[in-house]
Amino acid sequence: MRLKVAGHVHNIVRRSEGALDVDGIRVDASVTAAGPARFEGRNGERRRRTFVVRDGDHVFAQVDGREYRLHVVSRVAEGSGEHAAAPGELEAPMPGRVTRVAVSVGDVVKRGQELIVVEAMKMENALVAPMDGVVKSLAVKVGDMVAPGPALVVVEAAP
Amino acid sequence: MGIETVAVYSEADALALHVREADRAILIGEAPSSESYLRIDRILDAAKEAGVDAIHPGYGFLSQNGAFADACAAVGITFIGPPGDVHRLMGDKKAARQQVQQFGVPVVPGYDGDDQSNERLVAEATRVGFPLMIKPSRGGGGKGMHVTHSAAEFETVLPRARRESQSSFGSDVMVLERFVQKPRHVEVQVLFDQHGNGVHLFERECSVQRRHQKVFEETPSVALDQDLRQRLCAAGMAAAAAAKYVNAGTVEFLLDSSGEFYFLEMNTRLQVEHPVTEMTLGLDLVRLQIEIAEGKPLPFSQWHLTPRGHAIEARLNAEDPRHNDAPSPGRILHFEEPRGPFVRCDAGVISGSVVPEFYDPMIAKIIASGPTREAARTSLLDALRDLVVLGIATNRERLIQILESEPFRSGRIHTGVLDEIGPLPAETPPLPEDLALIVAALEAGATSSLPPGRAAQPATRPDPWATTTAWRLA
Repeated sequence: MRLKVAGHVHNIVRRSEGALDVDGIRVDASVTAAGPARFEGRNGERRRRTFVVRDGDHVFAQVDGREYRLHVVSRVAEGSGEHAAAPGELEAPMPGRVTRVAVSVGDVVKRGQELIVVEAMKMENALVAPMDGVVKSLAVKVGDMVAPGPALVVVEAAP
Repeated sequence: MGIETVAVYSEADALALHVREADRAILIGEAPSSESYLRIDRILDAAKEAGVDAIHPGYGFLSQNGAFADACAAVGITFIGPPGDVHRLMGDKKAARQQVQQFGVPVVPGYDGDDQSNERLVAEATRVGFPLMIKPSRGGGGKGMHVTHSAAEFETVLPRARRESQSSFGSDVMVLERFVQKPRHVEVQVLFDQHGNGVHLFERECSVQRRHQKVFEETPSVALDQDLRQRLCAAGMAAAAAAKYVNAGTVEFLLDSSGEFYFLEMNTRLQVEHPVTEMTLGLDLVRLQIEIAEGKPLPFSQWHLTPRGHAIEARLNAEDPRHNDAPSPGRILHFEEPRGPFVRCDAGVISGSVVPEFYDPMIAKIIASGPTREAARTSLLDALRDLVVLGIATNRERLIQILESEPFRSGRIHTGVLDEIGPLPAETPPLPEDLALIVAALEAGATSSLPPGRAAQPATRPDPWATTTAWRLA
């Protein structure tokens, strides 16, 4: 199984009854189900408090108090490649509603200038220009519901 | 108390814990609070339909709304809290400042005048001096509050502060106050019955704040000696007397490093952090609120009250500490409360709960007490390590980081201490042992056991006051 954590993909395969290979290195590990999402984990003799749930390709886990958010990576998805957002592409910091759009396509903007305001849980969060430049595209209007991921506004750096 | 309860809820909260826990629940509108939890007419219609005797407003939404208190009284329903006039006086920061000053309570230098033109505010800002705090006169919870460091910054921020104030509180009247450097936030809990008897329940310190929202609260405050405690509590009682206060309330103060304190505001409701007071005094504040509303006299006098030990509360929020504390609404796939002696968890969620995007991000409060501050701190650390929330991001690891930090351990805290402590360090690479266990668990069938839209039944009966939504007692 391939799992993506914190930007890196790890390859984990079962080697034997009580051991798995993690990125090619053998690790002793076994679990016994102990309730919903709860497992009695062991690395050799060491007991580990293990909680794991899977929701589609998303995996959420907590092992001895440490939290992990992981992605199951299928071979097909891996090929398409997930590229990181370019510096001028601004996405919503959280799911919310656009309450203000302060610029139009073609506007010249200064670094730090407020472009779009997204409101969620009564907090206004301003997306500001990361550099001096020009608004190249704008994908939202006031009232739109937005979520992290797609670029809401793209700023092209001034030459 | 053997009282039947009726909850009200919005469409977003149809499966919320407070709805399941109540004997009856009535839908009052759509998800945005302006269409449900802030609709006095709909809440009173529901109250009449259910035939309730009294309404407990909780600690959000209409809990400090004078018009709501009056509207309840007008239809013969007891509002569990002070009367409308008290809410209006103390809810208006300008009027409150002016009133408590007449009773000898010190206030922060600033401007609370009626001329609210931009020009006048800019002139007053320059007169009072920078750094300067802009606050909505009708505000609360840190919304619309901004610190400015120059006249130019003030002029930029003012329109935004006014907009936030208008949208959150329906008024853009602002108060300006000198920003006290590195202050502590200390507050005095008071309790007055309807017969003129009043006591204070000592102080709480809530200095650990993020964007003016409290993150940790504790009692007693390590910053007070007996003399300062006595003077602070006396000032709290004087402010409450100035308001002709009834029921439970809290008088908030800023305490500077020289031991001077200034009135900040009075909260005319039960507060989120009331459990720390309950733990050190062995009282149930909600029970006392209800008894006061029934017209009963206070069951004790000031000299009966002696706090024991130390209690600390941590607020668990649905937010991502690694992404600028962005709210993280969504479904909680697994929730496991911490247990242990002297540990209390007031949760508004269970496994399967959906945290709506519409409301405050707080989902639970974890409180620990002990004979000393250090005992309470280490118990709370253990509890936060045992707490499990899977499916959404929370500030759990941030809370642990703060509790372990040197400023918190030593008690050298102030309202800006989180900047001193710094952000949560970047994620370290996963431990191979952990990844092996996670995959072994996935092989053993770790899937979300919750069908969409449904959730497991609660294993315990959490405190309904932990919910951030409106509550009703019948």
